[in-house]
Order: sequence, then C-alpha cells, then structure tokens
Amino acid sequence: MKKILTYLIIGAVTVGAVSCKKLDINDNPNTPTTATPGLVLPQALTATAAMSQSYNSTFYYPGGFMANVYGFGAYGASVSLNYTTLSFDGLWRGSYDNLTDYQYVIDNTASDATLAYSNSIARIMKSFMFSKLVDNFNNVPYSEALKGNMLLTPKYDNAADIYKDLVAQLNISISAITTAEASVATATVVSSGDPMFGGNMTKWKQFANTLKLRLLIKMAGVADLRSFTTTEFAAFNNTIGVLTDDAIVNPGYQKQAGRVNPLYRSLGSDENNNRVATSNLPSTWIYSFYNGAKLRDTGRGSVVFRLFPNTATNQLGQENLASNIVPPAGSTAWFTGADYDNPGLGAVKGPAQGQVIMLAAEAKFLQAEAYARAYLAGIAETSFNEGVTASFTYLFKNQTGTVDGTKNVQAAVAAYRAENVGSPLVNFALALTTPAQIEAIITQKYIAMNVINCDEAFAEFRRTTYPTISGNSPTTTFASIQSASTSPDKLITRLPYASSEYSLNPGNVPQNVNFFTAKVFWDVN
Amino acid sequence: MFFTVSVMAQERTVTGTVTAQEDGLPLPGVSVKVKEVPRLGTQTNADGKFSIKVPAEAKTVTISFLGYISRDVAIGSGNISIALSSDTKSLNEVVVSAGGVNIQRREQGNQATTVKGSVVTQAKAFNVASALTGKVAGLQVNGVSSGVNPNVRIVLRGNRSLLGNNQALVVVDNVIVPSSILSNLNPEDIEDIQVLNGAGAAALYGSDASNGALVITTKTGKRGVSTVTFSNTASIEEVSFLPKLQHRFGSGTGNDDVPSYTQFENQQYGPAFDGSLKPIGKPLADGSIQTVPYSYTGDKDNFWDNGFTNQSDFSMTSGDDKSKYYISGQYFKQRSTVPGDQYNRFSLRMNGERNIYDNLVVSYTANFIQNRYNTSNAIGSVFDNVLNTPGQIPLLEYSDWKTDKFANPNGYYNEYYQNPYFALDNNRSLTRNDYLTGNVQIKWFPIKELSVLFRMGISTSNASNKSYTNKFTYSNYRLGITSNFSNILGSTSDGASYNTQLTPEFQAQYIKKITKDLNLNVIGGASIRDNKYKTLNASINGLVQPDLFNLGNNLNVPSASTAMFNATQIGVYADARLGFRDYLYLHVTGRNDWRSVLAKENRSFFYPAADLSFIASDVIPFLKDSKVVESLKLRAGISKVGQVNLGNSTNFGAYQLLPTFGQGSGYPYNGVAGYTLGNTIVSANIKPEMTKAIEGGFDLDMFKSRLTLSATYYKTNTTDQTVPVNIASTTGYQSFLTNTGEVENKGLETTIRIVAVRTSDLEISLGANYTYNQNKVLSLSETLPSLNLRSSGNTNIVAKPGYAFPYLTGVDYVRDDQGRIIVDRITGMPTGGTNQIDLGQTEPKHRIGLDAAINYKGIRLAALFEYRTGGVMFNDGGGFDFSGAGIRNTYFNRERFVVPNSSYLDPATNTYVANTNITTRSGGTAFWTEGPTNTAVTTNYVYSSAFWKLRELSVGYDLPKKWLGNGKVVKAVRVSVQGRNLFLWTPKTNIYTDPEYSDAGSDNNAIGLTTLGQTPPSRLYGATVSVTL
Repeated sequence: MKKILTYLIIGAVTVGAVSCKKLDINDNPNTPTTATPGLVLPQALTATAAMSQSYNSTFYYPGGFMANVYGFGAYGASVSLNYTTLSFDGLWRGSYDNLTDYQYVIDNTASDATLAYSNSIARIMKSFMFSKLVDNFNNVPYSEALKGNMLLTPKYDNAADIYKDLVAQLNISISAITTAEASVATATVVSSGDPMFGGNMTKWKQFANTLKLRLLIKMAGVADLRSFTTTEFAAFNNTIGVLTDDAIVNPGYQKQAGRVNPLYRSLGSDENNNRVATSNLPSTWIYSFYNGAKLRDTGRGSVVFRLFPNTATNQLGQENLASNIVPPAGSTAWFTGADYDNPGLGAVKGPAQGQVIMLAAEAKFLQAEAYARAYLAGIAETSFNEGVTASFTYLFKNQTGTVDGTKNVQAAVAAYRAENVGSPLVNFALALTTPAQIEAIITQKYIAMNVINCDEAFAEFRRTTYPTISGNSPTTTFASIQSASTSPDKLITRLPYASSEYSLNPGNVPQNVNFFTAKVFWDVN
Repeated sequence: MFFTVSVMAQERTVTGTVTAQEDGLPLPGVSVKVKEVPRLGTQTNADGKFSIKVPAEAKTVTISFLGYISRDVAIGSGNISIALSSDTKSLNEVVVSAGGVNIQRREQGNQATTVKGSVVTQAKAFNVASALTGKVAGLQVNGVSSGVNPNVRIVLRGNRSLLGNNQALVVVDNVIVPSSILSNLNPEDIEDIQVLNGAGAAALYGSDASNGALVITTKTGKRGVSTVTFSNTASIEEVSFLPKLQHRFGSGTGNDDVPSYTQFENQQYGPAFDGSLKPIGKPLADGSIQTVPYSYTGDKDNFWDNGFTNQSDFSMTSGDDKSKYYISGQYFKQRSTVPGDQYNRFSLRMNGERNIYDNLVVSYTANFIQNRYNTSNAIGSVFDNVLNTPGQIPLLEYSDWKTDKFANPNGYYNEYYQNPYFALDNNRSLTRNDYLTGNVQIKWFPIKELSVLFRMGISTSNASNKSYTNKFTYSNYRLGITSNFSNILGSTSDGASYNTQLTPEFQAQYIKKITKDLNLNVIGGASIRDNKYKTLNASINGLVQPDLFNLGNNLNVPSASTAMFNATQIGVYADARLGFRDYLYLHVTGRNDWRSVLAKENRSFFYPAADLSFIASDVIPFLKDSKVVESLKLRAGISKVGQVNLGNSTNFGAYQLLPTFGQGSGYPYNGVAGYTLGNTIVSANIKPEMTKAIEGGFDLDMFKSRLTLSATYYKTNTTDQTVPVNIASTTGYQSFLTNTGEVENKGLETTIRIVAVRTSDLEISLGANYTYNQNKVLSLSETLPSLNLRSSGNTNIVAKPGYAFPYLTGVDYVRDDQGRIIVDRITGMPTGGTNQIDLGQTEPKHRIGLDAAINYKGIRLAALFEYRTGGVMFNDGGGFDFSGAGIRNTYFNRERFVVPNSSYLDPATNTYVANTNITTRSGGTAFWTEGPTNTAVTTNYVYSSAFWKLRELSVGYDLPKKWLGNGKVVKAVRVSVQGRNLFLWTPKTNIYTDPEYSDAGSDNNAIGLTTLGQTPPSRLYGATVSVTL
C-alpha cells in the first residue's frame, strides 16, 4: 500500500516538474516592452506640442486674452481665480510625463556618439519643458526628478539654479551638434522622426540659442544672477543666431479623432464639426489692441477674430448681462476666419495646422530687448520691425504653412504703422527711452502671442509689467471683476502646485503657496 | 429521523424504514445495528428500508448515520414512532473541507461556519453573495452599488492586501470559480456553503486561499426518492434612501448679493420659492415658453420607478441504489428602479452521481447560466443631473421627449444638461454573459483504504456587449440660442470576450486506522489551473443614420483593439490528519505552486499550514460528566499562504513584470509610429505576498444545544505587499509596482445562539455574531510616506504606516493652533489648506449580526439585523453645493454668516482672536460654490459610515399535510412573504447615500469614496409560493 502511495506522490511531482515548460508563457502579446529612441523622440515632440497648448490655454483667462460668455454662470475658479491644488494637476503631470520620454531618449543615446543629434534634441526639449515648469511653478523637482524608482520623492530645486543648468544643457547641446556635424558617422535624424524641424540641425541650434536667450533675458533682471548672465551673454554665439522661422511641430495633424491640431481643437472645432470654446469670448482688453481703442490692427484683427471689427467681447467675470452671445451658426467660434470645412488664416487656421512651439516673432523681440538693454550688440529697431513682420507673416499663413495669395505682408505691416502713426508701440522710433522701447517690444510680443503662447505672454507681462494695466475698466485691465486675488492688481503671480505632489511627495512640496503674491524668481517687480 | 419497526417472534425479522425528519424523505445507507449483538447489522436500501433477522435476546437496535444523531430504538411489539432532530450542530456533522474532502466537524482545527441552503434562501435574495450578509461572523459583505445585479464585495477577516485582491476565494463543487459566478448562481441550487474564514483552513487551495474561502456545495439527488418542486417569487423594489436636498431656492447664479432668477440656469442660487408663475428655459422656435409655479415640485425625488423582480424555479431530484441526480432551472427577471433598465438570468443545472462498480463512482455537475442586461450607460450622469435639477422644474413631465415639445432636446429648458429621460433612452448598453461551470470526476477505490480521483473542472464565460449613443441633430434654432450645444453625432461599440479556466486535478486519499487509538487520513494531489482571456472591441464615432447601431453605419474610421492573456499555475499538495482516540486531531498541509506570471527564479513557492483540534469535553472528566456542557472543542491553527497580486480576473497578472510602450499623441500619423513610455515601472524582483496567520478558538455547546457559543481570535501578517504604488509624477512615472510593506489584521469572531423556547409546536431561537477587526499598516517602503489607493479631488484613500487601512485623508480649512477656522478679517471667508490631514479609517471596526427565528406549527418567522460602526466615509458632494441642490448650502439660509468656531488674525496683536461678528462676504455662490471656501475642503463631506439595517424579514407557512390530501400528489406547499434591506438607520450627518457603497467597485480596496452618480439604494419586498410534488 505504501508503495502505491509513494508512486502516486512521485507521479504528482513529476507532473508538476514536467509541466514547468508550460509556465514559459509570460511574453506580452499585447503591448511592446522595448522601443528605440527613434520611435520615442517624434512622439515626445508631438506631446510637447500638446503640452505647449495646455500651457497656452491655461492662460486664456488669467493672462487677459479671453473672457467668459455673459449670461451664463458657474464659471467658478475660471473667473474668481480661486484655484486649488487640483486646478493644474494635469498640467503638472503632463509636463513630467512628457519629460520622461525625453529622459529616455537622452539615457538611451548617451553612450553612442553617432546618436548625438537625437541626444541633443532631447536635451534641448527637456530644457524647454523645464523652463515652462519653472516659469509657472518656480521651484520644481529637477536634479532628482525623472529617476523612476531610484528616487521616489524628488526634492525641489531652487528655480534660479535650475535655470542655470538649463542654460548649461543648451550649451552642451549646441556644441555637441556642432561636433557631430563634423563626423560622417553621425546618424541623421530622418524627417519623419523630427516633426519640428525635419532633421534640420541648423534650426535646432538656432532654437536652442533662442531658448537660451529667453532664459538669459529673464535671469538678467535678477541682481544676484547678473555675473552669470554677463558671462553667458559674452559667450553668446551670434553666428548661429536666433530662429528665423517659426518653430512648429506638425506630425501630420488632420481632421481625425486624436489627430486634430491641439490649438484648433481648443478654439475651432473637433473632428466632427462640434464647435468648441463656446463659452469663451475674446476679452475686451485684448480687443483694444486691434479695434482702435488702444491700437488699430486691421491686418491681423481681420484674420484673428470672426466678424472683426464687430466681434463680441467681454470683461472677465462679467456674468450678469441679460443675454448670451452665440457665434454664427455653421461656424467655429470666435478665433478664426474659417469655418468647419474651410480652413482659414490667423491663429486658428484649420485642423491640419502646425502647433507653435516658439514664434520667429518671439525670437526677434528677444533679440530686440537684448539690443535695447545692451546685453548684446545690435540695433533694436531692426529686430523689433522684423518681429512685427514675422507676426504678420505667421498669421497670414494658412494651415499648410504658406502665406495666403491674397495677402501682402509688407503692405499690411506698412498699413499697420500708418494706422498707428503716433504710437511708439508700433513705430519704434517714437520710443525714446529704454523703458518705452521695452514697453513697445513686450506689448508687440503680447499681441503676437495672442491665443498662441498666452503663457509666455503673461510671463513677460509679470516680468516687465507690459502691457500696462490700470484701474478696472474692460480696456485698462484684464483682471477679473470677480477676482478673489489679494494682490492690488487682482491677478495671479504663479500657479499653485499640483495636488498629486501634496498627496505623493508631501515632504518636499512647499506648503501653502500663495499664488496671488508668491513670485517666480525672475519676477522682480 | 422517523422510523418504524415491525416485530416477529423469537428469531424475528425486524423491518423498518428510516426517513429524515427535515423533509420526510427516506435515507439510504443508514447503519442499523443490534445493540445486544454488536456483530449483527445491516444498512437501509435506496428506499430507506431495512430488514434484519435478530435473535430473541435482541431488545434494541441502534440506528446511526453520519450527520444525524444516533438513536437506540427498543424492539417492542407493534409500530414504534420516534421523532429525532438532525445533528447539525454536533461535532459529528460531516462537512466539506478544502480540496473537497469530507471530514467531521470535530476534526476541524480552524474557524468554519456552515450556512445551509435554506438559510441562504430564507429571504429569497437573488444574489448568493448578498444572501450571506450578516449571517457569518468574520464575513463582510458589501453591496457597493445598486441597479440590476449589483456588485457585491466579500471580505473575510479584513483587508490584508493593500492593493491586491482581498475577496474570498469561491469554490463551487470543488472547482475554483471566478467570484462573478457567485452573483449568478441560482441560490435554490445550493445545498450548503462552508465559510472558511482563514487562510489556514483553505491552504490546500494554494495561492488563492489567503483570503479565506466560500466552499459551495450544490444539491445532488437523494437515493430512492423523487421530488419535484416548483416555486415562484415576485418582489417589488423601491428606492430607500435619497440624498437630502434643499427645497427652498430655485434657479439663479452668481454675483449674488441680491439673488436674481435666471430662467435657464441650472444653478440654484436664485430667490426663495414664492409660488408665483415663472418662465423656464428660453422661448421655443414657435415662440411658446413653459411657465411653472415657482415652488418645489418634488419631482426629482420621484424620478425613480418601482422595480419589479420575478423568479421562477423548478427542480427535480431522483435516485436509485446505484445513482442519484438533481436537475433544476430558474428564470429570473428584473425591472430596475432606473427607468427602462432591465435584466434577466436563466440558469440550468444537472448534477449526478453513479456507482459504476462497487469501487468506482463517477459524478458530474454542469451549470449553464446566461444573463442579459439592457441598461443605460448614462445612468451616473443622469442621477447627478436629476439631483441637481432646480426644484421648480416639473421633471416628471419630460418623459415623452419624442413628441412633447418641452421635453424634446430642441425645447428642453436646460441650457447645460440633457433631459434625463432622453439621456437614458439615447445612451444604452446591451450586455450578454453566458457562463458554463462544472466538473466530471471519477473516484476509484483500488483497496478499501485508498481512493484515487481524477477531476476535470471548467469555468468559462462568454460575453458580448453593444453600447450606443444615438444620433440627434438639433434644430438650427436651438443651436442658435444655445452656444454650448452641438449635434450628437452618435456612436456605437461592439465587444466580445471569453474567459476560460480549466482545472484538471488528481487526488489520492488514504484512510487507515493504524492502531486502536490512531487514525490516519492522508491526501496527496496535483492540480493545474489554466486561464485564458481574450477580448476584442471595435467602435465607431459618427453614425450616418440614426437608430442603426452597426459598425458599418459609420462616418469615420472605426477603431479597434484587442487584448489576450494566458496564465498557468501548477500545484502539488499533501495533507495529513492524525486522529488520536477521536478527540485530538493534528492536521498538516503543504502545497507548492509554480506560477507562470512570475519571473523564473520567483516562480515556485511553498505554503505550509497546521491546525489542532481537541475535544475537551470527551476527555476532561468534569466536562465529560457535566450535564450542562454538551461539547467543548478547542482549536488552533497556524499557516503561511502566498498570493500573487499582479492582476485581476481578466489578466490573471500576466505580463506585468516589464514596463510597456504605447503609441501616443495621435500616433501613428501617415505611416509613422511614435511611442511613449508607460507610466508604470516595475521592480525587478516581484514575489508573492505572504500572509502568516495564527488563530485559536473554541466551540461550546451547552444545555443540549440550547446554547451554543463560539469564539475565534486571529492575527494575520501580510508581508511583501505587491503594490503598483501611485508615485509623484515628478519621478517620471505615475505608479511603481513593487513588494513592500506589511499589514497586520487582528480580530475576534464570536457567535452565540440560544434556543429560547423549544416545544413540539414552538421553537424560538436567537443568534448574534460579533466581529471585531482592527488592521494596521505596519510598514511601507522607506521612500514612500504613504500609498495612494484612490483620489477624488483633494481627498485620498491611502495606506500609511501606523494607521488602519484603508484610511481617508483630505484637506481641511486652515486653522489656528486652537483648532479654530481662520477667516479673513475683512471678508470673513475661510480657506482650504493644502496639507493632507487624517480623517479616519473607512472600514467599520465593529460588526454585529442579529437574527431571530420563530417556528410555530409550520409558520416560520425570521429576521436579520446588521450593525456596523467605527469608520468614516466621503461623498463627492461638492457638486451638490456647486449646483445649490444639496441641503448643506442652506444651513445658513443663504445669508452671510459667521463661520462657526472661527478666528481671525488681529493685526494689532498678531494673535488669532475668536470671530463672533465678521460674516462671510457672501452666503451664496461666492462661498458655497468655490473650492477654497467650500467644495474643495474634504472635511465638509466626511461623515460616519455607521448604520443599522434590517437586512431580512420573512414569514413562511407550510400548509398542513391534511390540506394537501396527505401528500398523495402534492407533498408540500409553502407560502412566504419576505423583505430585504427594509430599513436603514444612519447618523444624521449622512445626507448622501448607503454607507456600504464604494465608488471604486467591488474589486478595489479603496473603500470609503462615494459619488453623486451612484444610483440610490433600494429595499425589496415580495412573496413566494413553493409546491413540492
């Protein structure tokens, strides 16, 4: 009997042992577990384009570009600015999610010199995304961030220190590209692998240089950082120069679910001709730079706004007027000259338009400021005028990126100067002092970035106080009349940190940050 | 047992029939022995009849049968009638233990409770899981949602695993099945349910047993008797608890110093109701506009239908001396409290057994179940919208949206939300599930002591679903006046899946009386479990024509996805019981599993368990001789069981070890791919979670089973928790899968039962069970201060060291050092803080079940109450204050008020001074709808989750046999009325919903969050007629 039992147990164990081969079935048939940097980089750039739009839309209201539609209620924090830590959690997480992909590309190309281009692109874009985080949240995790399970609760780095390192990373990238260009072994980035510049490394160097200029100008206002910026300005490479074309990401946006250009999806319509942004109007404030209340801008106004110069506008927070305003039936909402199936011009061109990462106009205005403040040697007026021209050029382009045949940029710019013949904000020669020149430069930058890079326009407003605000009328300030802000100008100074950090990284995230008064390091006003 | 004996003179032949008292049916296989001549004996045949020749000196026969109380019957003259109670409580009761092994209760060294089929069905619950609520100490059953076939969560001895499965293992007829089977089983098919509370008792099932087990045995036939039973139960279901709403203010919105009426506004911060006639909505295209009295209609409280359920059953059992079988069928139909929602279930079962030879038995069970859902998939948002509808709106008038111009989307008053009736009709989901479970088994006895069995089990489900949103094109007029409406383009999706589990098992059992005092019972076995799942989904967005829900009716490119999972587990086990003189039993088990879902080097792991049972009352003299103590069993157990917590019931944890990439940001574009890293990182060395458990307790039976008591103490420690921890996105990822941390559960399970009255006509019994469970997270990873299970805004369900689990944290108002809310000196407004503060554990610490049963001349009354306390919960009620529909925002009559218990910073002294007079700048929207002042402050929406529930109340009546012609055609007729969840008592602070609810669903441990979108709980009452032929 015992024998039988023994045999049975042996039998059972054998069944188990033999079947162990049966256990090698754990290869994932559903999703890939490996990828090359070349597969990750284009997606990361396209994700940055989407994030860029998220930053842009975050400041539609608080940056002065849009207002609620009156006759409706329940805008809540959108008009009261009574944000909570939840308000920008998605923006925060999306930024770091995007940065993870760049970090992956950097880590997986670092050991192979032939992949210097991909490595440098990822490094430049990592600097770009971190600069957005710093500009809106000040101190953020940087040196300890993106380390996965090696470091689960990253510390918050000093914002100015982050900025310094971003500049260093851009320097490294520019020189790495230059070095790699001299080597035949360097792997080129194919055009489909780079939806921003199509593999054109000259443009990448220009972009890096422009971004560096943006960072340095912001830092230069801070007394403590002046020695750093002086050294960096002295070493600034004018041969590479700044962007001469708009830095635009376009992986092939089209009128399909999930593939519509993010800006168009935010202000035009979705892939099914569902009108979006129906509860937004242009702010009366921004409109005053187009309809003659402050400046008259027939050329750009007519391509940016529907029904210009009779577009409905509102002051932020005004809910109680007796009726509401509806855009014309069959059209997208307020920020386009186009309708659902007829792409147009302006900022909201069509579902296939590229997403602006940085306008050539911005590059020129940065250069103008650097010249006006004598950080670099050059003629501010020339750059200023090139900036205005670049803005007209961008807005006159259609969604395929070519200037519309009916438009003449040079004539329109000339008309603009004539329309505002006495204004130093348009005619640079009339701006006689450095502050007046800076006001002209920043105001034009603000106009050029209307609904395109609202976050950067608002950041520059915080840094320089231009365009000037005063009082509480719809054309003299863009503050919400329902604002809960405790600061005199009724605006915000930064964004609150994300709730996910308070939940998951509570030992490091600064507590009780007052976003009405606490300033980003370069905000020295 | 009922029994008759006829007697003949001298060398007499004694004949008789043995029947079971419970149902009057004959019992085959009963041992009949002559007391005076022990070698003489026989057994009853298939008809329960026996015949035995006895010598003259024979005076008494002993009738004994496993599970029944043995009785001596005097052999007298003429027929003798004796009525005997069955032996359910005694230590000799035969129960099914892990692995399908029959043992006597005296041998069990762990806490186990048997729930009889009749107790499961006493209130005619249509879901087996909810039928167990409150009936077993240590077993917690939560109905986490309502609607048709609601989800139920079943947990034994608290939550051990932080993020893994904590639900009890479900075994039906010795085959492990997915827990979804539990809510689909026909309760009438159940013979009994063994609740094995701890991991030790279930250790033989291997890595699935750490959560305890429900071992369900379905009915098989009885030899020699044939009965047919028909029954029908009809019930009405009505909503029993609705959130508390304000009845005083109608439509109006912000800048609220003087509330003004806005006729199309959903927010309810307008003027107080005054009964005057007011227009609602905007004018229709024909110029007409609806005008209603400006007063509270109550329509949103009456939106819900009365549900109706009907359950028809039949079953048949039959058998002869070689075989027995049981067949049954059930059709269950439910109309929900949600208008238009329906559900039905159809179930067939065939169980049988046959002795092919004397030493070879084959048996089989087969159960086919299909269910069909026709539900709206907009129900969450509809409930939210109904609750948030302004009070003056005559909501019930809008059901006919097709023809009524004010109900039609083109004329509906609301500028933001759809007519709820339209939303329900326009967004539907049709779901079909077919389940087949069963097994076939051959058991062979090569020699008397040894049995060998081979069992093949299958559990497979086959599902498909179609959901759609119908196309609706608004009139140009409506689009022209309402900018945020756009045409509904319509969409449809089709999905299909299968989920199959095969469980071949081999088992050998050897039972031998080694010496006079020593009994040995050894089992060895091996089993394989193979799981496969596949799903395929396709959908289109944009219908060409309305009302046609086919993927071909598309305007855009269809999208499709598929996923498949495969996992295998191999287990080898041994189990030995050593019995000493029928009063001391040592039981040890060991099992080794190999799991495909783990890395090769971590694949194999071993689980040992041991327990000891000691029948003190059979040994210790004063107990043995006691007239009071019937029996006393002492027991203790220790075990270690591992659980692989990598996945769920559809992915089985397969493929979780490597991070994945996916296409993102709209890729692929025009033939170019773009990958993004997944948001989860995985520890390189994932191992199973280990639960070490000890338990000890006693079962005491006194006063001839008039008083029974049992108590069990347990402690479990679960280490190496496998957790995809939410991590800060600044790490670059959002979750991290790792082994970390330890959770301890300690608790007490006690039961007391008193038969207060027992006469031939009347029996009154009362029972109570009390469960105390306190769990605590002993440690987490060093780098992780707390682990986030689920969030709702600022509110989190977390696990953190030193605290019970799950635990609620959230934000509170900024307070001074005396705990007063700090308000602004000028505006009087408080501000929500940013730090997470502790708010309480979300699982009740104490649970009590109380039951009472009265039997009087065929009438049976049974009631069951349940009480739980010691936890808190959160409702996502900010939406209520945002809309102004909830009652909280009227506590201060919408006027400016002094925030209770508040202070402000006095600039002169730089100290906080009690605030007695600074009122809030606003008592309307600027206070109540804003995050920092109200809606984003967690503590405004946290309350005690305590409750009392009258779970079950039933009255049944067995018609007297004489009314039925003494059983010639109709053997029995029973009528009953019953109710379920009839009453719910909660603390006043609970103004939202049923405290059992969980927004996270039944499979998630993040207990304690609920939302406004969860449909309200209901009560059911109904009647049953049952006829046995």
